[in-house]
Amino acid sequence: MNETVEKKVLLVIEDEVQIRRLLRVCLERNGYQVAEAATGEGGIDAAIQLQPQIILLDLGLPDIDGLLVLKRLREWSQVPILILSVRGREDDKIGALDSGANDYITKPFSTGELLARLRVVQRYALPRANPQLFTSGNLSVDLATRTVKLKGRTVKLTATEYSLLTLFVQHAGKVLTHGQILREIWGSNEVDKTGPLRVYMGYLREKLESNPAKPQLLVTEPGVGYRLVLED
Amino acid sequence: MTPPGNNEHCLIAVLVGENPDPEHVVRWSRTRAERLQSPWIVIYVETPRPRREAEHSQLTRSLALARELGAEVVTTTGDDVIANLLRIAKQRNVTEIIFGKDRGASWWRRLRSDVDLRRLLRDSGDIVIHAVPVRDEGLSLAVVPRRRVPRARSTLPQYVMAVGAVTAVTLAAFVFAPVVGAHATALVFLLAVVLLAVVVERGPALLAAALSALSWEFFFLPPVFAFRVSHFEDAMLLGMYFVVALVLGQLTARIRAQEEAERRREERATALYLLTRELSQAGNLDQLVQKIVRQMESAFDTQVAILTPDSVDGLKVHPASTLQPTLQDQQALASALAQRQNSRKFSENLRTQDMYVPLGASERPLGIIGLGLRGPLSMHRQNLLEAFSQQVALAFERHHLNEISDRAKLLAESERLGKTLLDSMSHEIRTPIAAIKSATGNLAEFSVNSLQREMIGEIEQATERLNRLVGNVLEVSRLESGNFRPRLNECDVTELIHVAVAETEHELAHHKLSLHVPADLPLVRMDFVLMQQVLTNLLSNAAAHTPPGTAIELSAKVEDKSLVLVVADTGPGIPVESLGRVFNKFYRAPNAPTGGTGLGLSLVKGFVEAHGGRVKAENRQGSGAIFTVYLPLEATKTPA
Repeated sequence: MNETVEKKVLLVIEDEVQIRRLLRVCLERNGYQVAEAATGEGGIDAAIQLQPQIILLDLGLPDIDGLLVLKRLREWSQVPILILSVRGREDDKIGALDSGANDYITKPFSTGELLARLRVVQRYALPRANPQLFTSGNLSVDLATRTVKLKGRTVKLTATEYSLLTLFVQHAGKVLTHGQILREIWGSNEVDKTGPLRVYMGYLREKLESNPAKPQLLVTEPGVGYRLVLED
Repeated sequence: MTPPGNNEHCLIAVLVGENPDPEHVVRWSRTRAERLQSPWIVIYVETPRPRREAEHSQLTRSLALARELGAEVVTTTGDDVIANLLRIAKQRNVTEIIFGKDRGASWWRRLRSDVDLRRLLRDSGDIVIHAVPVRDEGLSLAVVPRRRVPRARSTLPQYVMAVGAVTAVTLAAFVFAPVVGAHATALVFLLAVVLLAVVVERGPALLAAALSALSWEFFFLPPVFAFRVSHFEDAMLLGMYFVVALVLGQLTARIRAQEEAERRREERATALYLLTRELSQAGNLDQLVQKIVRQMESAFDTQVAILTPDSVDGLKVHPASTLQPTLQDQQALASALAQRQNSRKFSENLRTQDMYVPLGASERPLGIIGLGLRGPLSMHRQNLLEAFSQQVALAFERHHLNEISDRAKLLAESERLGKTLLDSMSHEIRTPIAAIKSATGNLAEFSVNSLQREMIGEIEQATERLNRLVGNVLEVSRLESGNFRPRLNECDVTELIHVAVAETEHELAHHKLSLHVPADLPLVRMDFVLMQQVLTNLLSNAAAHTPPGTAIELSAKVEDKSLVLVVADTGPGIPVESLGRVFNKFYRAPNAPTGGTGLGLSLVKGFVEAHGGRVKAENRQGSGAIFTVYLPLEATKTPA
């Protein structure tokens, strides 16, 4: 486990020099080794040469569309990619997540938010020590025995609820878009038919959240999808 | 035979012109064609048989009616109506023929009609024949005085010519008759009549025959200078004169009629060709109208007016027009156009003899063509006018479509530009804000004294406010860009409310928020992000305009096929003079606290209306403001 001791190489693909500078200051202070690329092509080259452990990718790049950069990176790499996006561009976020981005963060963001996101992305990118057992906060899911426990007490789930939960567990910490969930669980390609999904999310929250009105586990990402929050 | 209902290969042909009420036949056929949902053609065979004026105008009207009812009109020329009808029917693979069976007052016409029908039945092969009985109600032929169509040129010179020719031959015959004998002289006279019959019409030819016969009998046939026929052969010869003259006259008349028809057809084809060629080269509407006027002037030899609809009901005479309709006529035309009158009734209420024809389908007229006239138009001219007006209508239509597509291109281009501008604005303004926020964030991590921390806090607050303002401005311009469409999908209202409440938690920290959300709310089709902003804006608005500690209620219910979302507070309420304006852009109530943008509520209105819903602001009884959002449950239709 030598890599964890070394500084993580983080590649920032962003055209604004000021943002790059600030990210470098903030990230280097927090233990990352920062590499920069100002264009999409440059970013892809840097990713090949440096083999970074994490990539921050801005979608608005001067030479090629950020989404295309993402797709080309995903052709050969599973490196965690965090998208820098702006408010009101839910379609971009969905497109990026569907194309293999691990998460997104909306500009302008605070340093704290960014660091938290980076931690989450890295955490779920790591292989879990005990892959059949998942825990987050009060929730524990044993994929081998198909048991779901909340504060140690077994929760009964229907088949659909369970497969929905398993999907979230498999992608814990990551935002799943409505389309992704509908495809996986209902085999549907009609992305705007979110009705059953909303209903089942309601059921799951009823059973798993301590306060379903203020979900702590299964949070809504407005206009994009849902995320199962990773808690220690 | 094709069974009715299978319209794949149906084609109905209708014969007009051989019965007293062609309009009746045309209407009958339309009903039939509609039932079979089949195309139909109306065939008119023009024969050399002279027609009366009333018959002519009735035919023209029927053909116009047929065109209007969607038929294709085919006119052809020939002696044999039935043979021509069948020729066209076979060329076009007609499946049914509709024949108007004459049941009028005239026994002669009834008989002829029956003969025609019998021939049609015999020769039509696989074609289905419908014989529609027609009485002469449409036009009482018996009452209308027999009047020939006025001839284009006078026949008086021809009569003079006939008399002159016979006189000349008679004088010449005095020279050679003693040499060749009386019977050979008769042949010379006959030759003269034959030659004459080729040149002149039937009447003068007959006159020449009669004069020749008399002259020969009187001057040359013994006994000379007396009208007395002593031999049977001579009587036969005399009779022969008349027969030969008659037959020849008939023949030449036919040839001439066909020549004439041919000439007209060519004229029409040339005129139409010139028109279409010119029209296809016209660039803009003015050029188009100029060319139409020029072509029609030369084709009809009269002044032409083009009128185009200018506003809802008005008409505008195009400046290129050479005919200037009176104001009264313009008004009459405008009202005729507004009442969607068809072309036959179109010119009825006018005070002039000029003829006006609407262009295009009667549902959406594109304009009017006017022709200055001193008398009624001949049928050929009317046909030509019909054809012209169709071409002109097509040209107008094409022009109209071009304009629409140009406009659409322009719109798409401006939308694209607008989006690019918005995107780059959004990027250019947000980047420095992001930089400031990130920099102050970093700064706060260093050990700073309390004054510095306070300053950093100020910068952060200002940045947050600027960010919100930019966000709102961008949302407003997105709303107004014209291509704004909410992304509708089924949403859980409870979830929506919880997300909105969580979003405003910080702002509502000092208020008492209570939620009234029934558990049985249905899923509603909406744009989650937009509706979340609606609620967030309403909640922060309530928080900003009420003192800390004020109770705010957020409730949802279903009422009258609408989702009703209510945000009510117990604060001071909205000043009465502001009630009507709170949703206006940049409007801020006089007592509003600083820090707002004046855009939040206008966005609320815009977003709700984009869903096809509405929002209203009121003051509660007692004290407080109440905002109600109505969202139709089938919120799929977005207002244009």
